[in-house]
Amino acid sequence: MNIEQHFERIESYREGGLSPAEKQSFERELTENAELKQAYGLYQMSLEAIETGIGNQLRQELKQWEKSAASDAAPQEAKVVSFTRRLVQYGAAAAILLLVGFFGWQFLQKPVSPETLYGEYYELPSAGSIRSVDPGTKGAMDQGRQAFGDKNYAQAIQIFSSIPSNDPAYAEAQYLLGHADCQLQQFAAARAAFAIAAAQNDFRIKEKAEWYGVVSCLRVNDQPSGCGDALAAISENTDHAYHDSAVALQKKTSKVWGKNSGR
Amino acid sequence: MNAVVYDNEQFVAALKQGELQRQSAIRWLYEDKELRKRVIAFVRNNQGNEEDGTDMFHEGIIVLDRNVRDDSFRGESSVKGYLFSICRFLWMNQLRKNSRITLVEPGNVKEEVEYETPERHFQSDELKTVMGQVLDQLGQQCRKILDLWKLSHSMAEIAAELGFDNDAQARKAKYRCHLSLMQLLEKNPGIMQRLKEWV
Repeated sequence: MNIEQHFERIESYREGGLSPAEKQSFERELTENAELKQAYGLYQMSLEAIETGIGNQLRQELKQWEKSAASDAAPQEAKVVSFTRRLVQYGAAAAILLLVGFFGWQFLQKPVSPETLYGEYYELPSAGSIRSVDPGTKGAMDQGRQAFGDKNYAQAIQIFSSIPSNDPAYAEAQYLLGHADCQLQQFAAARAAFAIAAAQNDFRIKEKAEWYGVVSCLRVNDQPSGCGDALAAISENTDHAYHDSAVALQKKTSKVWGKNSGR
Repeated sequence: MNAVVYDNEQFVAALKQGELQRQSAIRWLYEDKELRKRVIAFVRNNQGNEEDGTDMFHEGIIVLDRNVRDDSFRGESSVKGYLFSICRFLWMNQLRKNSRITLVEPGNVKEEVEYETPERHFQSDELKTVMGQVLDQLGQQCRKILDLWKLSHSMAEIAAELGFDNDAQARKAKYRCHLSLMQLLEKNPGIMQRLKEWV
């Protein structure tokens, strides 16, 4: 089914963007056109899926609040039973040790900028690797690969963006689109393209797209949310092709991406 | 501690606004100890334990959040009364599933019963699981874009939150992500079976 063909009309209908005549025509077509009807059903299902995700996230937050409330309550009880003069002495000693440790660590830590890290971890796909992963695909993909190989990244972006999502090479197109965006310093667009490439679940593309999504994050302005989580997901997956690199990068990004990357 | 107090109108508006307002409104409900106690007491009086009661309280908040955003809550009772009736409905459903349906109502429950229909957005556990699996395949960036869009964030807000250069880029990414999600759903036999039942 060609979902793209119906998508914008369905969304306009759902969001009240059709004129009364268009709305009437759409509703009539829904009863007559089996493909439109199925696409509409899928659209509704997609909204259900998004709501499932929102619900799951809220459930996690509620559990987290529950845990925080429980841990907030616990130390107060402990304080009542263990509050002695010796505790004050131990506390002071621990504070001094912490301060010495903290300043020592600060002294030893050399700040590494996201730009430097990007330079360290980003690798442009080699010419040999920019060949078809689906040997049957011809035409636009080959032209895109050619433009990419010739370092004509603007043209490559244009071509890869035109590859439709039902094309077997869509994942690769989005992956190379991400790299072409990186070459033109369009890092937010690169990150989005890598995310889409990874979401296609093409095993040949998925892991490297996830990794370069994280690497491109390093150069997105204002360090958007989710970068640390994405890095943590790779570093926690020991089977991931970029696991080792992710673990190493995670140690270096704890200052940039906060607690998520340091998990 | 949440110092804000919401009336129905303010609560509904907060859930439909940005993430901070929504979270603050949900926190206000979550921190209502009296309401939580009533939900837990209801569950405990009906063959459940404290943990079941806490779970129902959480699940009730999740259902309420969606019902309010989808305009299913018409404000015929207070938000807190509505939440109690959702929790009650959820636990009754649970008992029905387990065939333990002798319900003991608290004395004042009639005053609290919400006459709207909280079941509107209940999905089966099976469907939730399948949806969750599909979402796992989608990728975090896409999930975030679609979540923000569904939570009524503007494209400009999505662009700012996710680091796109402008709202046109965010719109394009949302389009790509939404299509990807639909394509993943289309590939899932469980979803397609369900879809046949729907259409």
